[in-house]
Amino acid sequence: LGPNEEEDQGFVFIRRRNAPIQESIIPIPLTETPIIKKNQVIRQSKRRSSLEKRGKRASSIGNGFVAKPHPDVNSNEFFRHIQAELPEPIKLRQLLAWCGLRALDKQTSADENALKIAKIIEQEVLNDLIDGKISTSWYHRQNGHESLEKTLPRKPHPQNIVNQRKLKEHEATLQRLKAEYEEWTKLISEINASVVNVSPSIPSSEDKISILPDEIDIIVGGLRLGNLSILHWRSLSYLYDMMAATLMQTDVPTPEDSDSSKKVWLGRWSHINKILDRRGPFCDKSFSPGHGEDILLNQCRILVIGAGGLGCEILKNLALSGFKDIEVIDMDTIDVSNLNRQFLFRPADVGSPKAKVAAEFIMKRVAGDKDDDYYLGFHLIICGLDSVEARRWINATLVNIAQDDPERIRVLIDGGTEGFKGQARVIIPTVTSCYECSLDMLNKQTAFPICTIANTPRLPEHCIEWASVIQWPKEREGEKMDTDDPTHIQWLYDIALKRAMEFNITGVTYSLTQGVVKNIIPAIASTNAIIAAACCNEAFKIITTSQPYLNNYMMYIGNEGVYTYTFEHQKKDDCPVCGNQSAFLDVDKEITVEDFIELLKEKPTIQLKKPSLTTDTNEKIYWQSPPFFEQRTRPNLEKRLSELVKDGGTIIVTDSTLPISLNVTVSYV
Amino acid sequence: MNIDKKTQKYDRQLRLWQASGQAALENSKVCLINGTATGCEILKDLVLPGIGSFTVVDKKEVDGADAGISFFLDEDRIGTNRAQAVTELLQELNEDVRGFYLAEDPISLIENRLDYFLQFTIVIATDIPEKPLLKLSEALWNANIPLFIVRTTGFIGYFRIVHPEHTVVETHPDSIMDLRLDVPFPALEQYAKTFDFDSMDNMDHGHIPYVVILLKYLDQWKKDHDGKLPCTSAEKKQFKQIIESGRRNVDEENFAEALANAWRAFTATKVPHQVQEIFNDPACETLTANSSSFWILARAIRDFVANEGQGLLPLAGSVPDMKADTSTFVSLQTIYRQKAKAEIAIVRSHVNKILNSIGRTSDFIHDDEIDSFCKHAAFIQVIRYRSLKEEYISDPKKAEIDRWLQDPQDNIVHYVLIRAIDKFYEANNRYPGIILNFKL
Repeated sequence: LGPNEEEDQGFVFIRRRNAPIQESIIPIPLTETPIIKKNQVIRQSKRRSSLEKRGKRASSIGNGFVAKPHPDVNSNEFFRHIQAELPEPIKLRQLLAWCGLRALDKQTSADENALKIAKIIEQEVLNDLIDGKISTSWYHRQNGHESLEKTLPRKPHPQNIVNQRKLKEHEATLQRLKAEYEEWTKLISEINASVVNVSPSIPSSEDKISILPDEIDIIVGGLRLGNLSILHWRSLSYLYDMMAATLMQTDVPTPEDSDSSKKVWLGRWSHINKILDRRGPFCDKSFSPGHGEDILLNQCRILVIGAGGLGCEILKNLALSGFKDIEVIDMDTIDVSNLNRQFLFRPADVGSPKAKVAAEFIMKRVAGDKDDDYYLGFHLIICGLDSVEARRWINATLVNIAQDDPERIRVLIDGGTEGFKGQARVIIPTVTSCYECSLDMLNKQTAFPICTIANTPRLPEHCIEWASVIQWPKEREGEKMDTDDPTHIQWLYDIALKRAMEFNITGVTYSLTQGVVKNIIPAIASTNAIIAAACCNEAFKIITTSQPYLNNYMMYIGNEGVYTYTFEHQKKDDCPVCGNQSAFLDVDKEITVEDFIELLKEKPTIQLKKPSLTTDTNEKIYWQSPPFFEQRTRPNLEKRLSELVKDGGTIIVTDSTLPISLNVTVSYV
Repeated sequence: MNIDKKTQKYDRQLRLWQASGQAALENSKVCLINGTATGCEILKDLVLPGIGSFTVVDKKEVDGADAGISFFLDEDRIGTNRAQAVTELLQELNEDVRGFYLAEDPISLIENRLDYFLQFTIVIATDIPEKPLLKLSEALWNANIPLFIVRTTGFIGYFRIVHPEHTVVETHPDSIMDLRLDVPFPALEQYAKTFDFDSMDNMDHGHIPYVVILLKYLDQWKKDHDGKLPCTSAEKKQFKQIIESGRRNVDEENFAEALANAWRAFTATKVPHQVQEIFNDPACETLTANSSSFWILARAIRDFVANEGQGLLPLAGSVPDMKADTSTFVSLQTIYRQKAKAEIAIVRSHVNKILNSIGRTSDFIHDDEIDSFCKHAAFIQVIRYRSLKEEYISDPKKAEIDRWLQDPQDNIVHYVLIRAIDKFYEANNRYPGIILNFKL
């Protein structure tokens, strides 16, 4: 690990010291946990955060006055140099002082003496202003300036106009409803009168009647009297529905289920509307209150890739957040081991495909056919996948689509979990760092050297590898190993166990065998829930612009307490997918083409599967496919790379398994 | 097929917390107060991995807003009892979990039948105002039952654990490295001596385990340096150079491993600070008939350290994989394992002595428990939380909160706001910021 790298519980991440780092700590006042204790010690011993101090001048420490902006800055641009988060009166003081100082410099007069005197007086006034002796605060001002205010023409606030219009509309609605209510009251009391001695009748119209759902319940509760209560309940609830239909237009179900017999689902989106119907302090400028529901329900299309543990959570969260148009793709079928977290499936579903899409179709969509229009048909894509390859594919595809036209940018939100750890990130193709930019953060899969497996096994894993890598091809030649087939696992287990006993190695179990051959990663419902929630929150915020969204990487580590870390992962200039610079590689001048290809597969930042090489003058070095070219270029594999590419020359690398084209500039050492 | 359905179903999580973690989960009885959306999400993540049972206590009737935000409610259940409705749907998630509900008002339950909550292993409270919460938390605190207080509002959430003490033995550390290179025990020392590096052929020389390489060179070093380990950086460098000079060629991976792990040889084996703190804890000092097995075991280990262990914890007994041939590796493993076993037996005798002195029989603590405790002795943890009474009334840490509030970046502002929301609710019987409030 380099000096700027840090290993953290299996995650290797690079902290770039120059990147803006934002700590995000979930506010849990558990004062006694070891982590919090540790944090407290850190908090006391070190400077807590230098975030707000950054970019400020030294002179801003003290009375708060910041030195004048550069003379080239126009006074009408001063406001840009004043920190937005300062209180208004301080901002005003700053602005006045700067304008004053600027005016002071520019003054001219024929009478030099007068100018001098004026300057001294003005300087003193300015000093007082800067020192805060002159108050610029209007917060506690008495109403002594009415005359001034009257002279200023007042423009009505546009929101007020809207509010007034709405007020009128609502008043009209209320009038109408009141009338209706009275009719109903009359009707009910007529019915009540026709039934024997009912004591508490419907509340009189003088009583306050709220149409809030929970308060309606109270009224209904008050009328719970034998059979009659049903009558009251029915009439009231009908009234309540009708009011709802008129008052809350948006709550009316969408056309296809607006069966007149169906009850209106009042308050369905009331939680979400609390966010979408009004502005909050963190809203984006483009946010317009009151339209969110329409965006979510009727306009936004979301693609969810992966219907596993994360996918199930994502689908549920999206549906409950109001997203209606969601498409899901997944290649897997449901396995019984999915049931500990994939709650959309039941034991009866085991064996059926996860998404209702045929396997060929998905392969075409996810792993094969470049169908840009398909992806462009969505506003946002969320990935809850367990495969690095599938992620690289979708990432590269979306970056390619967005390459030349910002209109074609489709935001990708990617979530991933492993045991108690997870991560969520927002990828804006071509704008932020992409999945490929951070490829070197992945943990390398443990690979056992073949000589250990064959000659000196020490661990149960070595015996299992022996069974699967060496014995299977030998004893069951030509047969494809299916790691989902329990009889295959059982066979491997038996072989591995025999070998382990031979070598006095303990610990080979069926479960370990399965884990090793399938490369099983532990997965639990709660981590999936946390990561899926983070992904869906970001999707919701991006689509509705109701809150600022994640920039751009959040990691969660729950092994010990709760730890999250949010940072901006930097775009890599030489990223094979989104970078515009070629990657520089120092290679041995003796390196053969074949070894160079191995190097491209091994290198953590590249990790290609089947690289094909072409020179920048368009001559083929080695192509993996089609077979015709493979055969013709195969002899080059044994040649030295330097015979085909000169020092400092560029090689264009493509890979049939990824939509990637990478320029590699080689220098021989 | 030699694997049962349950192991198969829970495969992905058993790889994380093993059978012992699963057993703890399956023996738990969880109570959720109020079937809110957040509460149901919590239960979902507990029901799926297979807790023993859950009980939802809630009097509320489901309204449209509840059904709109919760996965465990649907339109048809509007107007029905929320506890019953969510229990039915949560129950569907896992046939091995039993679900119960109590359609009663949790607040009046807290007022009138507080002992109802004492039957659970854990209580999760959502949407309970501060006053009843205080009463509930006190009762649970005295009964040593953890209480989770959960609140979410918009994009902000809060949860807090109220529990006098939580002890963890199996902390699942990434690796348990306990090689004792600086203080090799006799059997290990003896074993290392059986290797004569110079007379070995290249094949064997390339397969000497790095533990043996380090022990061998350390032994030589100690002889040359009055029994001291390399301690200055110059000495450490020199020691590495000595190892390097013993390497026959660059391909000898075992020597590369020895160099990479040389720092372990310089690091003194000792009782970790946090474990020493546990030993010094009054709960470890004064055992009573009510002491938990954690404290009895901690005390037994402490006694072991003070006597037979000669200042060291019992040996963990595992050896990481290293370049070696099979038989050497297996014998090395056996040496560590046997030493560990012998020490476990000593700890067992301490445990029995302690159990006897507090009037308990020796079957109160099983051998498995002792094995696990000895293996994880360097990683055991005690977490203590503040009581709610301290937080709300006797010691609210106002000065600190005030200081933190000076920093606009500090998340304490969310804590203050969430507490303020509770206060507002208590005063007005509604939450702040309700938009729709038409009155006819």
